[in-house]
Amino acid sequence: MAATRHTLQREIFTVNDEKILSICHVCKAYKKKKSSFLCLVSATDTPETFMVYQVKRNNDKSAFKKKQCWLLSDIRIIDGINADSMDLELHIDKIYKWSTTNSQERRNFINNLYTVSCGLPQRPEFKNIPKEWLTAESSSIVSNDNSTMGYNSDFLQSPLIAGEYQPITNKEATDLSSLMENCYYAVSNAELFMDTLSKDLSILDGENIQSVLASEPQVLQLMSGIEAAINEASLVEAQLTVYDEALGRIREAMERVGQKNHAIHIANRNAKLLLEQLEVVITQLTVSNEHQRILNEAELPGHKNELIVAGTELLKAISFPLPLGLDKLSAVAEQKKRLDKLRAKFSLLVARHLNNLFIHLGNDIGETIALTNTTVQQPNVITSSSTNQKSDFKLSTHQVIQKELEPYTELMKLLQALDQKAFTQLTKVYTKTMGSLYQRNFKFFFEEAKDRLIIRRLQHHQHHSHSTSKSSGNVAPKADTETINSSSPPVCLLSNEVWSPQGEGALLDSVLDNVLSQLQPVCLAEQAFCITFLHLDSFLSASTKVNLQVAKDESSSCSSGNSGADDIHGLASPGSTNINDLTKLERQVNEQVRATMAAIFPSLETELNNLITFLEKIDSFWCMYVLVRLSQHVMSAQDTGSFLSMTFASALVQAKRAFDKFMQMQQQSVLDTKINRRNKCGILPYVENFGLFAKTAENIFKNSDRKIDLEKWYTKLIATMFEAIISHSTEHHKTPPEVVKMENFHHLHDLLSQLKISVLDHQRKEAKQKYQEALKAYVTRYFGRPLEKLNFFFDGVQAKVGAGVKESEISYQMAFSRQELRRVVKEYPAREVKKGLEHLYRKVEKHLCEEENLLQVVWREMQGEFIAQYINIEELIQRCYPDSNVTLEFTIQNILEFFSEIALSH
Amino acid sequence: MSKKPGAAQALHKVIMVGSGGVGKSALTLQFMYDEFVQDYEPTKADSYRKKVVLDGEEVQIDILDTAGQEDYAAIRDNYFRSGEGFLCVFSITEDDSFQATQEFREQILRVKNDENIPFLLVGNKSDLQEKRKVSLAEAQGRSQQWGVPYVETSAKTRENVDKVFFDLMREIRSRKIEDKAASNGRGKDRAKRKKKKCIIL
Ligand SMILES: Nc1nc2c(ncn2[C@@H]2O[C@H](COP(=O)(O)OP(=O)(O)OP(=O)(O)O)[C@@H](O)[C@H]2O)c(=O)[nH]1
Ligand SMILES: [Mg+2]
Repeated sequence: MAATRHTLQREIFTVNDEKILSICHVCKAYKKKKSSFLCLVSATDTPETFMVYQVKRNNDKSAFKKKQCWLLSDIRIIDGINADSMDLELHIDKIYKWSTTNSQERRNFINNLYTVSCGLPQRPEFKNIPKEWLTAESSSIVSNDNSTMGYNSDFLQSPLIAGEYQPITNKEATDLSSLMENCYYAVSNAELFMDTLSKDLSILDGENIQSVLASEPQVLQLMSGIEAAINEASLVEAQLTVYDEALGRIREAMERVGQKNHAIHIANRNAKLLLEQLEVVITQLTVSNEHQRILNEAELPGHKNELIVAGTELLKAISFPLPLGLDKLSAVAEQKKRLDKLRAKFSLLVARHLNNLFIHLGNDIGETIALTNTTVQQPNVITSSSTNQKSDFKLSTHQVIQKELEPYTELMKLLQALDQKAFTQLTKVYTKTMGSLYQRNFKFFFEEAKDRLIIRRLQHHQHHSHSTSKSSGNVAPKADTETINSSSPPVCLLSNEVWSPQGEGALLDSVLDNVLSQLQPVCLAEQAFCITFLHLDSFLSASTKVNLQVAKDESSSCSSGNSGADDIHGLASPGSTNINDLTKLERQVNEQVRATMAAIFPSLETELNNLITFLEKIDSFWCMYVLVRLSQHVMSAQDTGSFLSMTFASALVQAKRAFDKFMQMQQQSVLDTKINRRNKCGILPYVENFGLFAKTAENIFKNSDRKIDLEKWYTKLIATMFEAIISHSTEHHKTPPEVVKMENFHHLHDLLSQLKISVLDHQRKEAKQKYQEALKAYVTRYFGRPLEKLNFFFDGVQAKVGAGVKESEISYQMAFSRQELRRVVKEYPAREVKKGLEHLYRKVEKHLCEEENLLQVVWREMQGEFIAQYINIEELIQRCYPDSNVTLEFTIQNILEFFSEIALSH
Repeated sequence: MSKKPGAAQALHKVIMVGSGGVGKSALTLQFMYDEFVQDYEPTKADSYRKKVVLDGEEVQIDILDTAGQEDYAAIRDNYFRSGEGFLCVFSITEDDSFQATQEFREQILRVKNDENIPFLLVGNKSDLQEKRKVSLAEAQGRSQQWGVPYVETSAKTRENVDKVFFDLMREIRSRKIEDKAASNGRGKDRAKRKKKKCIIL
């Protein structure tokens, strides 16, 4: 390696005054063959210029050549990859990758690069290179063979540069030669030269020691200076400690002051709060003198409004929620006592006045209202749009009373809050007095309703020119009621011979409608009044009331049913679950309202039921009218849970029962029908009556949602009638059962076709079928009559054939010999046949009733059957007695002539 | 027997005649029950009765709906005999049914022995104009020849349905009034006269 270095120096660097500082044999990374040398070089002329050369030899023998050259300061990064690696990367204008051939050489090269670059203003960064390589001391490895040259600054500058041999530069050479000149004897006298040199050296040593000794007092001076500084510092420190201590004490004091301050603050606030509370309590518990005076001296009804204001104040004071413990204050207790006294005053005043007012209104005003109302038209009563003017009688309202009481609503509320007991008592008085007043009103009202019914009926049925003056109406009908009551109830049964339903359906309906539509506003008005006046909804807070309303509005669209009439038309779905709580609350309120209403209208239900029972005597179809009308009113009621709705609903249940009973009666009467004893059975009464019955019922139920009840009964009735027709058909002693069935089913089919009741469509078809069956049965039973023996004979023939006897061998049978045939045929000469047919025609005529007009139908059928029979017999003769030459004694032509003759003889 | 309060009520007996499928039953059912039956179900014989108000007077009408197909014409004699007036129906969509009216007419006249028996020629199915086979002129010609009214009806649209029944009832009624007057006066003469006329024809 040294040789290479030497060669390189000599061949290419010396020429340019450059000196190799370090060298490294490298190959291009991964291309072992292309080897070259990296040389760290310093320029001799310009100091501190270091270059890195890449030097190459193209082949073994040729000369070295500089390939590339970079200034050391241009190298940005020198990357050793890692300690064990042989690679080396230089980042300059681009990244140059090499791998070295000798790790020691690599280490030296990198170390030299580092050492040299240390002096540069801009030096490369060393990466991935072990720390210990990058120290200047590591230069110990560097050989020091050239340091012997001593004084030359150039050499001193780079004593560390590796290399065993350093050629003498020109300057060194001149220096050395000048030295040698001075000691021209050196060559000749080495000893003298040595002496001179060592003398010089000792002089230099002495000088050195001397200068060292001269610097001692200065050191001493420095030491004393330092000592002084230390002393000064400790002085300052001591002072600082003093200050610190002082500050510490002050902090404690400050803390204490802070705590005290806080406590004072709290005390202040508490005092303020206490004061505020006291102020509130005092102001709240105080009723102003003015109000006290009013409470003490007010008179009703004059001071109503003042009393309301004062009462509200009092209530506020009494119901003020005292802070815990404050009620133990004797001043508060005292004030409470005073307030209590005021409360008693208020309660006494209000309760006494209202009590008297209720009784007064109940007795005096109520009396006049009741009396005048029957004759004087109340303008504000909602008149039902009843077409029948005569039945437009009125139920008196309590509007006057309610108007009178309304201003006291607020006082009632106060009383309830202030004196629950007095309030309850007062409520009782109200319900009782109003109850008896309504009882009286209802009595008049319902009596009036009954009178309307009776008067018309009497006029109608007895042609009795009754005085219709209303004043006499109160007295006169008493007697009439008796007659009506004793007269037979106009129940008209389907089994009756004559269908004569009695009564005044339209009148009944209009009176009933009038009654129901008048009850509604009166009861609802009273209910609304009571809810506000008696505060029945008081335990519903305002907010829940709003919610309730919303929930109600939501559910009202889906639940149109009436919960009061559950047992007749299924419960309405109780809305969504989220309003369940609300409805529960509402139900509670409703219950209270209902209870109050029941106390105020004690007689309503009985009166209504009495009227309905009374209606029974007015019209045969009364229960249908009641069912339809009541149901309509129950359905249209907005307030389904109200007392009135429930009363109506229970009446509706009664009506439904009555209706069912009525229909049951009709059904039973069908079964119980007695068959007439006349010559012909004809149309059974229930079949005959059903047409009018159904027409009437259809008329009553048209547009009613109760129609389904009627339709259920239709099917039951028709089914019963089918059964009854069949069983009754056998009971008539003259008319054959087939005829009874034929005529009645024919009639029923006609009726059902006319009525077009859709639920009975199936029964209509069934009736037609039963009619046709009966017709066929009738014809089959009678057509054989005129040729009885012939028929009998050939029935036998047919039976034999059916049993397997050959047709050609029939004539060998004893009973069916030609002889026999001839004998039977002889019995039916044309004359006889005609007589037989005529006889049959007369018989049929006798069986059939005129109304049903089936003679032609039956006779046509009989003619057809007779001809068919004739043809059948002729055929049998042809087949079974082919050579006998026997024929019937009459021809088809004869038969047709007989038919024409029979026709012409009528 | 107070059962029928209208025992004195007039009763007019009408017979429906004509070939099968021309709409006799359809006309009858439309008149009776205001319904039209689309399905064809051949009739044997059916009897109907209805209360109607004829010119302000409540009367009853008996309708005998007969079979269009009958193996033996003589079978008809009996009910022709019972009829007081006839609706002789054909379908304007079927020429055969029109031709058949001739035979019906002859049989009725023979059985009733009365040239002036109340009788209407009815061309049914007038709603089916596009299928018309029998012209109006043709039908009118025949009705004039017979001296009877001709009316076109539709059992489907109810056109003229009431009219044919009511017109016929009016004829029956006026015939009855005539007969009554005749029998009160020179009734026997009249009857004889009629018979003679028939024989001459
Ligand atoms: N478009 C139309 N169809 C009709 C009319 N009248 C009857 N029809 C139809 O014609 C067919 C026969 O009607 P029917 O009334 O049964 O005839 P018919 O004369 O009673 O027949 P038979 O009982 O066999 O003598 C049915 O399908 C009816 O729907 C009509 O005016 N217009
Ligand atoms: Mg028919």
